[in-house]
Amino acid sequence: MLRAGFALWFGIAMLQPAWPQQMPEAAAQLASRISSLLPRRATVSLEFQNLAQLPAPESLSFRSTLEQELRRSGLEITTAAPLESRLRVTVSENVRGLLFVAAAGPLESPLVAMLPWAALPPVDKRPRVKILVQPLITQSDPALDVLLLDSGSRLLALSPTRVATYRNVSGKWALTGATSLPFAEPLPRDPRGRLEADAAGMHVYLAGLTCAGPAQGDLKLICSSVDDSWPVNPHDPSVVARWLPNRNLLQADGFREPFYSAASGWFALPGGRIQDRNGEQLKSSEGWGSDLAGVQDPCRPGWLILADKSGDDGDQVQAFSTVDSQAAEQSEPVALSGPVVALWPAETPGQVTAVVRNSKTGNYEASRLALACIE
Amino acid sequence: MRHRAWRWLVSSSCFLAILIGATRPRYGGSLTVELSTAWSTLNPSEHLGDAIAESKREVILPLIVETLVRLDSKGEVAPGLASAWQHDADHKRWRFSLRPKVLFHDGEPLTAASAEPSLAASLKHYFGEVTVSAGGQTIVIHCDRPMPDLLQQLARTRFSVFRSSEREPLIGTGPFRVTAWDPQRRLNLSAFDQYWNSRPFIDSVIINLGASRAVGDIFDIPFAQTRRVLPEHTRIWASASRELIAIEAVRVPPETFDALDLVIDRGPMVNVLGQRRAEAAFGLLPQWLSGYAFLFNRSPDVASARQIATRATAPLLSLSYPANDGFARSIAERVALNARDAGIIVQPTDRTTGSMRLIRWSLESRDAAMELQNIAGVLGLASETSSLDSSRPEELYQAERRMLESHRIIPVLYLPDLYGIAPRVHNWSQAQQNGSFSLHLDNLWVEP
Repeated sequence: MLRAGFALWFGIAMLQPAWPQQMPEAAAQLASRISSLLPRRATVSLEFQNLAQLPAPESLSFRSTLEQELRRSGLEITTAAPLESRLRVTVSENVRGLLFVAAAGPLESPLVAMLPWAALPPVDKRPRVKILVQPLITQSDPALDVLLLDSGSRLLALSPTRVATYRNVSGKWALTGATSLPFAEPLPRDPRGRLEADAAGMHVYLAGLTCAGPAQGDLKLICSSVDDSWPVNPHDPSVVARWLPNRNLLQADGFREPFYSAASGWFALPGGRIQDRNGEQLKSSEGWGSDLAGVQDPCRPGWLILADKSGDDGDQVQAFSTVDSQAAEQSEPVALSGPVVALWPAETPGQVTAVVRNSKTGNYEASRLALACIE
Repeated sequence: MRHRAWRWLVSSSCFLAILIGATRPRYGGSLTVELSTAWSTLNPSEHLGDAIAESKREVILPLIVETLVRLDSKGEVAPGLASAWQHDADHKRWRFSLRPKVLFHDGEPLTAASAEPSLAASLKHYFGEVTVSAGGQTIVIHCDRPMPDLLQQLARTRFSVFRSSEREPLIGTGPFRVTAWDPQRRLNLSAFDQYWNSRPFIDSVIINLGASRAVGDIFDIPFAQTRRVLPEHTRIWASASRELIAIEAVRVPPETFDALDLVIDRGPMVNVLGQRRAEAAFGLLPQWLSGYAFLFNRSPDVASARQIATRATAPLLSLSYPANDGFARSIAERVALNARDAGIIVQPTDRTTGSMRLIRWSLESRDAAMELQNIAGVLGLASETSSLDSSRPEELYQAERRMLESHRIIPVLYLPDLYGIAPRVHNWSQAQQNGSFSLHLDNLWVEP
């Protein structure tokens, strides 16, 4: 009886907290509110006080960003101004958290703008996971991807012109065969390719060429000059992509821009941007390269992103989490022997295939990267 | 036993607090609490008429009774006896799901039917046309007008869920049950073994009311008794500013009011009368609660006050303070002294009538909007504070400014609650880190 009357009721009523946000965003918002209070192109002098527990470096940073944002909004800031032109900004706090208070005009009846500020929860800076590197094969031909089959006793290696099969003999990979790939079109200058296996067999995807064949026994591929779609992460069907013809880029339905790689809903775009389907940029992803790979978090349910970055002596890979459009480091970076050629989610959810071109030898080194929890 | 003035102990209290190590709590023992005020009824919805007694009863009752929801340390609504709630689009109909497996102190399970009578009575008393219906573990409150702040209201002790009988004056669901009640004198409590949120460490509590001595394990320290002597090693604990002392104008010409507002010098009141534990009040809400109280701060301006006062007709003003309240009398006398500097004659009086009243207002919660609304209600300015929300401080500030400009109230001081804590009481500071101002005796433990 009672229940029926509540069919259209709203959800649980809770007070809406201020959204956690970064300090620069808070400064920009406060500047916007302040400028809406004052005449356009007004000249003010800025007085700043910190009544809260905000550490001095953050307080200074906030002040500096606020000044920039105020200037950007058209206000002129001088060092001295008459009393009525003083803008008094206070970092205060109340029972709910920090409160930025700006007051302009006479002390008795100022124009006031306030911004409650919920700081982002402190990120645990200690690395939570470590990256383990297991070398697989080294070859002089470019390696685009490798796939382990038969419980790791057989390995397929994709290069721009062929797929080679290896068998593990006493801990070493012995070449057992190779199948050439029948290209109708020239390969892109930066060739990329993907090997995947599923219940139907194994598949090869290169720009302008799709091949399929049995995963067991001799390698026999049937190829066609099409760009079929395939899941970027075999354990996550949410992003199904295909190669853009003659490019080293992928395209996917529901995502309008071509991209290099994708993981956990984030896409690595030309120009170094990392963004989601809605166009929102991933914060703190500056310096990331073009290759991302999703990898299962070994410590808790969920996924992490392995991303390549440029280091002092070559590329690095590092694990990140993403919460509220914010990337957070979860591992120390691991230095690699050269630039990353390929970084793909492996057939095992907790592993990633990495191919690096050794800067000293010029060889292509394929490895498996796995994550482990730090105790 | 040696006794020293508590002023000395204030400075040593931090040191003593540090000496207490982190030890696992012990169960058992009895605790004695001495409170300087007294009251005659335990009924949470019954108003006492004495602000100080009311505020002290507010800190005790939550040991016995609980509310559907509570306010956490940030003043945000959290589940209490209700584990979930919903409302309709215009906030007139609210549905609460009661927490399962909760027992009253007499062993009766908490159901909607058993909770409904006390809730309905208090809601009707304070809000008029409110109906409460019960079914199973679901309570529906239907108001005749939108009640967007109903949750904050329901967190107030006056809306506690309780029952009573001829033999038992107050049967609640809280961590302690009443074992003896001697109105105005003594309240005995014992731990409720079946308390849903785990049994208290302490077995029993004896609360002596109207006590004037600094004895017992825990005792309040009224600001009127700043020269009180305390047992050695007693720790002094001060809450956040909780009580507002203000002048309410009843019949004061606006110019005289403005002049008086400018001439009051709060500094000596803070330092001398408040023993530096008090805080000058220029706004209605303290800084820790609003975050913007500093915007109202200003220095006394005797010259301007005198100038304004000369333009006004200067009648003899009377400032009434509660009888037998020595601290309020001292404040009133100080105000009268300051007023004289501006040429305004103020006569302090303990009679109930006067052109001005010194009021003492205790915060109940950490919800700024609700507290502002409560003060506005007392001043007859409720229309200034309708639809306030604590998450929108600009609106709170504007409402508070309008109240201050209404020529109805002059804030003077904020006072904290002060308690003396005996050395054998453990876990005090941690226990008080909670949303309400109540004494969380259930989290304390004592040395044998």
